[in-house]
Amino acid sequence: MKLFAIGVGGSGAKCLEATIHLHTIGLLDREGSPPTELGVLFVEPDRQSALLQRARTALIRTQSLRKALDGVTQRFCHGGGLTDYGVWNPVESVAGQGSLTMAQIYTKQTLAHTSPALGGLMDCLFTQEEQKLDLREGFRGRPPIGSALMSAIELEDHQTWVRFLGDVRQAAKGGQDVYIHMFGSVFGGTGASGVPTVGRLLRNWLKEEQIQSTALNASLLLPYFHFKSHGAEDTGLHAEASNFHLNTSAALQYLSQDGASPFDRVYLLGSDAKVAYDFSIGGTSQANGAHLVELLATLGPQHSFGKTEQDAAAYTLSRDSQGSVNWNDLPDSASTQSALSRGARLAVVWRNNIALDLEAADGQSLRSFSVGAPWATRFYNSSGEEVKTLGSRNDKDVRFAANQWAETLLTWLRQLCSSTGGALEQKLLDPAKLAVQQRHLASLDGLVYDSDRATTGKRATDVEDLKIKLDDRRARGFNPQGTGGLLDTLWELCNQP
Amino acid sequence: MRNLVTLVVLLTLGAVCNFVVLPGLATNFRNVFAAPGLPMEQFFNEGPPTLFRVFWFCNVGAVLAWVYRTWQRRAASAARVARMRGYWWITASLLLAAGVVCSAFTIWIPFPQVSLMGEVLLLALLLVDEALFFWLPTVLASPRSYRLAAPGAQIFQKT
Repeated sequence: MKLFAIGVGGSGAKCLEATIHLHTIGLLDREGSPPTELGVLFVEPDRQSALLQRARTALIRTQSLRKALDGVTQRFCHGGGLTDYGVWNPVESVAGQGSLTMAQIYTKQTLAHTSPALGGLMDCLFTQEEQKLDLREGFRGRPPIGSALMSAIELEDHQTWVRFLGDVRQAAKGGQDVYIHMFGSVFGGTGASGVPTVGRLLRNWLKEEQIQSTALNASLLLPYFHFKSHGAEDTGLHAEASNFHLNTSAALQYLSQDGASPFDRVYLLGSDAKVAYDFSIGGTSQANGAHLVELLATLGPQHSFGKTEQDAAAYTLSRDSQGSVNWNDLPDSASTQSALSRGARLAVVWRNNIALDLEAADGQSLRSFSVGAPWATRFYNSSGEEVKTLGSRNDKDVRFAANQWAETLLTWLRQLCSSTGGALEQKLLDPAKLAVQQRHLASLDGLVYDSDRATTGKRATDVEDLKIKLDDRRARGFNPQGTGGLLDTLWELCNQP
Repeated sequence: MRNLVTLVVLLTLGAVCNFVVLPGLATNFRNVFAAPGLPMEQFFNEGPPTLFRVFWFCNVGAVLAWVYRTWQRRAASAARVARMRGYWWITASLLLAAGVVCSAFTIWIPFPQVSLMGEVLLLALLLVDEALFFWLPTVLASPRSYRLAAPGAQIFQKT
C-alpha cells in the first residue's frame, strides 16, 4: 500500500512531520499487510518557514536512519519506504527566483490600459497592499491571493509534480492500494487556498488518467490556535487571528457546495481550547510547536485505509472529559496508544541511556565495556578488528542516525504533549520525561499516563530491567547484530515495558 | 531467585568445606607443617580448623556485602556498573588481608614453630578458599546487571 501525503502551508508541513513520525513507529501500517510506503510532498511558498524546515529535518533524519538500518533490522523501520518528493514552491514555479506580486501575475499595468474595467475589478477584489505583497513570503493569511496564484498552475508543467504523479500512476496502474492525502489548514492563507485548489487539480488529473482506484482524501485543520499578540502598524500584511473564522467559513462553504469538493473523504479537525503562539508573519520566526490536532489530522489516513465509498459515514471526535485529553479520546485508542508509547519509550531509552553508554564506550574494547554492560556481548563481536574498539564504522553511523532521529521524535512528542492550549490538561505522555538529557535515565515510570505503573509495576519500568531483557534476548534464539540489531531488539522490548 | 539459591548453595558448600574438608586436608600434609617443638595434635585440633572457620565467616561477610551492594545499586549506567569492579578488588584485597590477620592470630602467634612451607601451604589454601567462596559466588550469584563485574566472569559467559 502506498500513501502519498501532501502538506500545504505551515500547518500542512507540521502534519507531514507527524505523518513521518507515525510512519516510523508503524502507526500507518495495516494489520496483516506489508508496511505502508510513504511519499511526502511539501507545498510551501515561504522557503524560510521554520515549520517547513523542522518537518524537512524530521524527514531527512528519518531517511538517514532508514538508510543506516537498511537490511539490518527485522522489525524496526523494516520495509515501507519513505520517499521525499521535495518542496514545491508555487511562487517560484511561476516567477523563478525573482519577486512576484499579484499585480505582476495579472499584468495590472497592462490591464489598466487594455481593459480598465478588469483593472478596476481587480482593485475591488484586492487592496493595493495585497497587490504589491511579495508572495515569496507566503500569502499572509489571505486565501484569495493564494487561490489566484495556484489556480493558474498546470501541475504537469513542474518537475516535482511530474515525479510525484508518475509514481502515483505507476503504483495505481500496478494494482497497489494508493491513497493521496492532503493536509492543510483552512483558516490561514496557504492551506486555505492551496488545499482546495491543488485538490481540484489532482482530481482532474486522476480523471484524465482514468485512475479510479486511488482515493483522494484530506485532513483540514480548523482554528486551533491564536496569536498571543498582534502585528504592529508597520508589520505590513499579516495573518490575523480575527480572520481565522472568516477564512474557515469561506473554505468550508466552498467545499460543501455540490460537486465542489474534490475529496473522497474529508477529516475536519479543530479545537475549542486554543493554544496561544507567538505572533509571526512567517519565515524563520514562525516556530509553533507541534499540536495534538495535527496528530489527529495525521490519523486521518490511517482511518481511511481500506474504506470504500460504501463506508460513507460521518464520524465525530469528542473528549471524555471537558478539562483533559487522554488516550481514550484518540481514534483507535488502543493501537494509537500502543504505537506512540512504544515510540516514546524507544526514543527515551535510546537517547537518554543506551546511546550515552555507547558514547562513553568510544575507544574501549568490548571486553572492557561489557564489564558494565553485559548486554553488549549479545550484539557486538569480540573478534577481528572490533576487539580494540566497540562496533564497526557502520555501527557508529547507525548510532549517530538513531540519536538524531530519537532527538527529533522526542522534541516532537514533547511539543505535542505540552501545547494543548487553554486550561485543557493533557494526559498522554509526561513532557518532563521526554526531555533530551545527558545523564542516564533510570526509569520509565510515569512516561505514559495511565499505563506503565498500573499495568506492569514499578520494577518493570526500570531501564535496568530492560537491559537485562536485552541480555536475555539473543539466548532465546534471536540473533540481531550490531547497533542496528540492538535498536531492533530494543524496539521489540519497548512494546512491553 | 535463582541467584539466591546459588548463593545459599555455595555458602553451604563453603561451610562444609571450611568446617570439615580443609582442616582434614591440612591434616594430610602433616610433614609439611612438622617442625621441632610443634605440638602436632594441638596444632591440628586448634590451628587450621579455627583459621578456616573464622575465614569462612569473613567470606560470608564479604559475599553478603557484595550482594547487598549490587542489589541496592541501580544499574542505569554501564560506567556505574563497571565501577563495581574496583569495589570488588577492594573487597577481595581486604578479605585476603583478613585471612593473613586470622593466620597471625590462629597460627603464627600460638604456633610460631610451624615451618615456612606450612605457612605457605596455609596461605595457598586461604587463596583457594577465597576463590571458591568469594569469587565464585560473586560470579554466579550477582544480579544480572553485575554478572560480568567480577574479574574472570567472562569464563561463565553464556553463548
